[in-house]
Amino acid sequence: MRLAPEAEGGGANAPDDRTKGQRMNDGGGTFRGVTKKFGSFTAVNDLSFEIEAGSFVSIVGPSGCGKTTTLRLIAGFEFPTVGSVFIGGSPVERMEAYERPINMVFQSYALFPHLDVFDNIAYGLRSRRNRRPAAEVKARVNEIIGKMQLSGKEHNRVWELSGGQQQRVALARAIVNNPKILILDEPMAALDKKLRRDVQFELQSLQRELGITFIMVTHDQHEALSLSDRIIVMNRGRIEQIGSPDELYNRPASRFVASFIGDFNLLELEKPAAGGTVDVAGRVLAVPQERAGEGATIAVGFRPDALKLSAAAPGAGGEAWRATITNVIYLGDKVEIKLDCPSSGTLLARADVARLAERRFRVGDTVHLTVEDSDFHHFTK
Amino acid sequence: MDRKELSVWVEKYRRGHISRRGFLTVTGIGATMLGMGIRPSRALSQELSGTVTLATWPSYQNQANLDSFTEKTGVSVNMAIFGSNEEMMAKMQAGESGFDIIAPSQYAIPLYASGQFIEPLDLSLLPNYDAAAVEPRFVEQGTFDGKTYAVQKNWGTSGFIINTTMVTTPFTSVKDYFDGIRGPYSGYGVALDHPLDTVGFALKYHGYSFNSVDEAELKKAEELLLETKPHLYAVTTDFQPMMSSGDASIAMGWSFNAMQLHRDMPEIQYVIAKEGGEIWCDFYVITRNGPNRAAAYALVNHLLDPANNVLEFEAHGSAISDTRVLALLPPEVQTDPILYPAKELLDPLEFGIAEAMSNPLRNEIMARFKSA
Amino acid sequence: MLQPRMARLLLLPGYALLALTLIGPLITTLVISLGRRAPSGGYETALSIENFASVLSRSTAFLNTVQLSAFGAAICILAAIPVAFFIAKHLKGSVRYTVLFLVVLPFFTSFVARTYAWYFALGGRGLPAVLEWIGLGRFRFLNTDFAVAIGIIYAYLPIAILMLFVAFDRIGDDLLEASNDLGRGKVETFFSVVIPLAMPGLISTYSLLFILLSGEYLIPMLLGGGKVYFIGNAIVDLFLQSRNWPLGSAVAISLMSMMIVVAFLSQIFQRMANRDGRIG
Ligand SMILES: Nc1ncnc2c1ncn2[C@@H]1O[C@H](COP(=O)(O)OP(=O)(O)O)[C@@H](O)[C@H]1O
Ligand SMILES: [Mg+2]
Repeated sequence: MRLAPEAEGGGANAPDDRTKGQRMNDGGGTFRGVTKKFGSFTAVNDLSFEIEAGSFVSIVGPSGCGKTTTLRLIAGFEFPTVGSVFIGGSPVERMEAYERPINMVFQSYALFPHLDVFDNIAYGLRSRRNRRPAAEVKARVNEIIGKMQLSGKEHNRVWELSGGQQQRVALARAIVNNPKILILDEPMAALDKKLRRDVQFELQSLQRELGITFIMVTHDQHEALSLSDRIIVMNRGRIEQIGSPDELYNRPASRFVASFIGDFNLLELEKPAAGGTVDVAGRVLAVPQERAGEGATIAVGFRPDALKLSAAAPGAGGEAWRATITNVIYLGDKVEIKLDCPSSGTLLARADVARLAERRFRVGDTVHLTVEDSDFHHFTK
Repeated sequence: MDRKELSVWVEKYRRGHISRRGFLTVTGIGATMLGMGIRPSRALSQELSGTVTLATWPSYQNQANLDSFTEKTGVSVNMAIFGSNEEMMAKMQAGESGFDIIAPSQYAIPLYASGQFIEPLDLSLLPNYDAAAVEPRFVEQGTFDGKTYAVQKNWGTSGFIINTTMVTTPFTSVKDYFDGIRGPYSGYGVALDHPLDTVGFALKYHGYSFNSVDEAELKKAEELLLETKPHLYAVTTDFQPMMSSGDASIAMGWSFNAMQLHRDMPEIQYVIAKEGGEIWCDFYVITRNGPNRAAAYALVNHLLDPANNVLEFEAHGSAISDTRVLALLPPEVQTDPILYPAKELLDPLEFGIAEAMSNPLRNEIMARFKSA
Repeated sequence: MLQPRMARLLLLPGYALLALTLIGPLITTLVISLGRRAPSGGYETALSIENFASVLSRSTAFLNTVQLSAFGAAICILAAIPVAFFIAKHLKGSVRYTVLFLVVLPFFTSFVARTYAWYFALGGRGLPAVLEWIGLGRFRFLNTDFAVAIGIIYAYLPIAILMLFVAFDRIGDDLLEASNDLGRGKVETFFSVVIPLAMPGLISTYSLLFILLSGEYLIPMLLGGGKVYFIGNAIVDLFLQSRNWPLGSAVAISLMSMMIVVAFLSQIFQRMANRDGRIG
């Protein structure tokens, strides 16, 4: 199924400059040194990034870190205190929200309670600014309604719908306008967990199909990891790291990113290691090449999957790398084991159940820990 | 509204900025009990005590006399302020007014007397009252069924108040009033919001009695009033500000209104119509079931003391007929043409009568005139 | 935990008080309205609906009242809308409550004194004198529909602002932003989102104002000078001047019936508007 107006049966193919096949090229977004202050409080601090047209980008970070503010700066509900915002190469920071070729799915959905499903979806196509002929409105809205599985609900009141249906109306209301960028503020927040997974898949295929840029805010890192082409990790109004899910997971740029994206065993060093090696609880690690120029290493760490447990042979580092099992949690085909390590505190290990089949670990067992040198991440910040 | 705010309004009223009706809207419709009494410093009289309540008109009593009464007897005085005899009577008819003394006009007295609201006065308790010092025609108005129910307070007339810089044609009659307002002075005339006078003058226009209750005559009066209504600037007793600002140039009104306006603006003059009009007289009466009868007599007696009555005159500025009081006043007061008009002007004037006040048709005509 | 029965029992004194203070006077008024004026005024028992027939003789006052109340309420609403909207949607935090407080501040001074202020302001020595001095000619405002309308609007505007503030405040900012986001500017959003969603509030504000205004007597009395005469004035005069209590009661009951009809219609319209625009 396609959404471009050309696809409409019997429709007058009114030219629509927002859909002339150049969507892929002009749906990019750029922040250049954007700072937003509310009074003396800096909500967003010197943000610079580029979003590629047609990509699915997520913004993640703890609550209050400035995600929504960033979205609102893109949508045009907030204006930068300093800096510029570009959409498709042109500066928009002077443009009002209603002038920007962007549509938004609100966290609350913000459906109009006085309008039925059809009229909600048709709202943008009936605005003075972007008014389409009635026949075209009807065709486009009906098409979207079919696509979003809302057929039969056209004339329902929006507050009569389930949460999932409301969300689809909110999505339909936005994409029916063929925006260059669709922004979504925590679109799953109001859905229950099972529905959330379905919607995630739907969202992903919708984005692929439409080819328009999606920028989504979420505080759920799993969601970000599974949906996005690129992820922007924010903390305290600043960007911590931008990268693909793989980069963020495997090459976190900071302790914050490492801990925020996926689970992570972080070992803070007592004193920063300025030389070429780091001493971690009696184990000496060489600082990797790519970190060498960044300054003193202040922490190291590894993913739970990198941690191997064994009852017998001690690994490098000797006695310090021994720990007691405090919890064993089976998660279907995986098992998570929590450990109390005298030198490093609480650690988490994760492994395939199948791999552990012959060796049953029990709470209270003392085990030896093994981590490959190459699995260690080194952090300078 | 608190006492201080009220006193400001009272002062305003005194200076003629607002008049009876206006005052009433400020103090609240109907009876507003005003705790005007001051605490007695010491009670000199053994038999008198408590509080006595006097129902009267705005700016109609001298506070000094009330204070001296309290000082002398230990009785504090409450005042209930009314804008019209009709309202005062409505309150009495509604029952349990709590009033000891009221100050009605002559035409209300027979209604109070026949309705058993007031009692024939025990004149032995009013040594300061000297019927011989008061003009007989006023004494007569206070008498009902041969008994004295009321002692005279002050009197006045109803007529027309004109601004001579705006009213340039000769103005001497009721005819000049109604024809002027429907003619050259359309939009500048004021009729009184007072059934007795307004209906009375409309009757006078046609040559009937001021007090007529004849249906045919009243019908003609009503026609005249309804015809005049669109030409009027206002139907109100609160016309003094309108006259002094020039918003209105002719008003039906009472002599004390005229006094106050004339004093500030000499070009405003008072005309007693040559066809006649109304003479009126206000009294003190004592209610039958008042809570403090003894104090009521004592207060009326106190106010009738000629020296005190001079103070009263200074407060209300209306004519007093008691010769003992006149003797104490400057001689020019007695020749003031507004306060004491010439005999030939007074002769055709009629006292309003109870029958006219209570007549349902007259009242309904007034009500229809106002709502027209 | 209170048993429902017990709770109902506890409510009894409340209902009794309500009946006493609300229904009692109503019945009294109804009884009087069927009576006759006593010869010297007041009330005399009788059983006749004649007084209700005579209510028609006050039709001018009724018409005056309805016209000026309808007009006054409309102007109040029109004037209150931008103010209330501004306070509800453009002021934040403590500022909005400060402004709201300023709006209701006049309520803390005497209503009569405030109306009197207009009496002096519109009288010949007030505004007209200023206009004449400027050279705009001689005006007279007092005792006109205009003066009464001014008085009404001035007196009731704060109520309108307060009620509409509540109506606008309930409309989420996200709805206005969604409308903006979908290509509609402020004005278009106002008419396509704010007005429809505030409709129940607008209707209830309008009908409340209409009802309050149609019971008004003080403003027409002071600023209408007997020339602009409301049904409330007719009632006051019938009780206090003509002392025709039965007719006064009949007129009062007619006025009350009109108010009840308006309140009822308002309920219906609100429900209709509500069905279209339930918030939440
Ligand atoms: N309009 C505003 N006025 C003042 N502070 C605001 C405003 N909007 C957001 N903030 C503050 O900016 C910070 C970032 O908010 P937000 O962008 O909503 O965070 P997130 O969406 O990441 O949870 C928060 O501390 C919030 O309180
Ligand atoms: Mg947020």
